[in-house]
Amino acid sequence: MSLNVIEKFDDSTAEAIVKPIGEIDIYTSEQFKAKLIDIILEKKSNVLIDCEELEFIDSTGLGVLISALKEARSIDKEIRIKNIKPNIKKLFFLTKLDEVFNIEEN
Amino acid sequence: MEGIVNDKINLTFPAKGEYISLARLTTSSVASKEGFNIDDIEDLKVSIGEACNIILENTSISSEQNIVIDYMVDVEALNISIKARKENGLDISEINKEENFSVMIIDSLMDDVELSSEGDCMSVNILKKKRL
Repeated sequence: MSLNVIEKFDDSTAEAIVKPIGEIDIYTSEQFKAKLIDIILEKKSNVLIDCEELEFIDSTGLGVLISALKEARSIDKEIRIKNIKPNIKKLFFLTKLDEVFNIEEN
Repeated sequence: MEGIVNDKINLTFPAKGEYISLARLTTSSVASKEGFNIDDIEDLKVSIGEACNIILENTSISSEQNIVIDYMVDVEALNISIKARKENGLDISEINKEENFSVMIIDSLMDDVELSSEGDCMSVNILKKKRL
């Protein structure tokens, strides 16, 4: 399965919404990183990552999220994550990234 | 259905990121045939992907080389060995295990993980026991 990334901007919350669909692994993580960093630099807004249709993420994908969070915080913005599946939440917990990211409960 | 206990299965693929999903899929299939539950199958799938990541990300392995995965099935556990030939880059046995996300994940999900290097071969060896 490959990766598609849908983006939109919510004017009511002034927040960029990024929706990865598929799998983020060593093969697709560079594509996701490029898109996410572009959005942060272009919109200069907070970002909401909606993981409703994200089926899988690995350590390289988690690395991308950390890079994006650093980029966002360098311009005083934040990244929120929502609709995360249990298998993915488990990885955030194991790597203690659940303490770093703002993850909204489903 | 006849089990696959004591059988040996292997998968060989080019050392390229696009084939890691194939390794995850094959692992799910082997683990499922061996009777692991859904949670353990998911853990094995994640761990195999991370083991391949360790080789691809931390060594300067050429994409012309292969990664070989050996699955050794027995009554109580699944032993998986992910191997590649050593080149001139960093050896996986030199990885700082405390700081490496991949190692951290495999270590948490599996019963045993060992990163080894012997001669011109480096390997990540994983053990997952069946819950009886």
